[in-house]
Amino acid sequence: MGEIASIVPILFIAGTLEVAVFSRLQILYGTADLLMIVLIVWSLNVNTKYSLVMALLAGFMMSFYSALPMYGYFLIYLSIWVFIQILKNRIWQMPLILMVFTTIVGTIFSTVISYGILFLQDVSYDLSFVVSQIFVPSMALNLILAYPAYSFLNDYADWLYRVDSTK
Amino acid sequence: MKRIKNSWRQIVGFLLTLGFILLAFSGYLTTMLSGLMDPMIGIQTIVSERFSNIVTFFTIPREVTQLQAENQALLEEVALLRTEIIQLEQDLRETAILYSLLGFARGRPQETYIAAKVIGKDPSPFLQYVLIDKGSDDGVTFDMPVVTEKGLVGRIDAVTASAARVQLITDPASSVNAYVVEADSNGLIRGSATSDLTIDLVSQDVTLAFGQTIQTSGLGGKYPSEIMIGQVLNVNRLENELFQSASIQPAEDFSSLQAVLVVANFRPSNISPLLEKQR
Repeated sequence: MGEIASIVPILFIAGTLEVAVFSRLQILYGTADLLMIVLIVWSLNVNTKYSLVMALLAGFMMSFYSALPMYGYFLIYLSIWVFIQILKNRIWQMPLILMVFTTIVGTIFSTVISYGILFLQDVSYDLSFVVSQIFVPSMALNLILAYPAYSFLNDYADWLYRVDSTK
Repeated sequence: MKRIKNSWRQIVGFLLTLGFILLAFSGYLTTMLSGLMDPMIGIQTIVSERFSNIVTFFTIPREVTQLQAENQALLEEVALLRTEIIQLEQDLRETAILYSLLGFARGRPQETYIAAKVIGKDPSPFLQYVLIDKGSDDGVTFDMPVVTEKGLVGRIDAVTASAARVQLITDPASSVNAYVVEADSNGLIRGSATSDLTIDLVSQDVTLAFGQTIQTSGLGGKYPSEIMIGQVLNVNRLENELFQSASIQPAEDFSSLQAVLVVANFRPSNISPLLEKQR
């Protein structure tokens, strides 16, 4: 339960930063998804146990902030979480490379799901525009944010679970 | 005899001294006196300097401490004044924004407004929405139009008790019935993924030209009429098409929205049941 309680302030800070700061820091039309990065880092950490709760809470929070219909952020974050669980169980343990890889795949999930949901809502975008002006810049911003988030949140998770660094 | 001898010595001594003084004042002893005075002045100078150094040695530390304290106090005052200046500049900017909003509100006395600050932007890069700091507790309800002193911003899309989400007219899913003033013609304004505005469904019979003013038409009942939207930028007219279109330069800079006005007394009409019946 301590982890769940400790997740809430992280999500709150990340959500606030995302809406107030990072959504305005654009490269072309792409923006960073700080909550997605937080979710990826937290899910990849071997000590954390409630990353699914984080995915649900992050989706819940973003459903308030964003106008993406059909609870799109739940779909985005849950699909990323499932993907990470598959990777964690089946693929080798190299967290930093895995984080870069999942950040890229997470951005693809986010873009494809957003595009698909809006397409179903009769709001169509030019695919080449989405790739060149939204997806690629968003991925670049997410990768830039990933490393500091990884350092900070891993330290935080290790502190939370009192992991002995000398082991 | 002895007394007389002593008196004579005193008198001679006195007269010699007096003569020496008189000669000195007369300038006859200048060379001799300067030879005598120069080493004395040198010594005086050395002694004076050493004394000054000693005095300085004992008094300066106290002054340095005092100066350091004064300097610290002044630095703190400067920092405080700088903070005040930044705060005042910020207040001035906010006042300027609110004053212009007030000017707009005064110009439209038939409408009542709720002023709100923009506190965030939709995190999805696909959408053009902003968050404002006024919600249902302040009287904001769904579908209320949102404006600034420059023109139309959008409409309320979702409301919580203390905040609301505004769909900007630049959002790809947004459409606004518009009126081109100079051309006396109606059209439909649509947003896009690039935040550019386009007016569409304008009759081929009218002449669209650069700089023409575009306002809300009030048709459809979603927005009040005669709210500024922007100006015609580039006209796209093809003979083989039913309608012509044009790109629009919006009156408002949507990337730097800071404060907005929610039109509180406007009740949007919901005509969608009528449209469904027609189908």
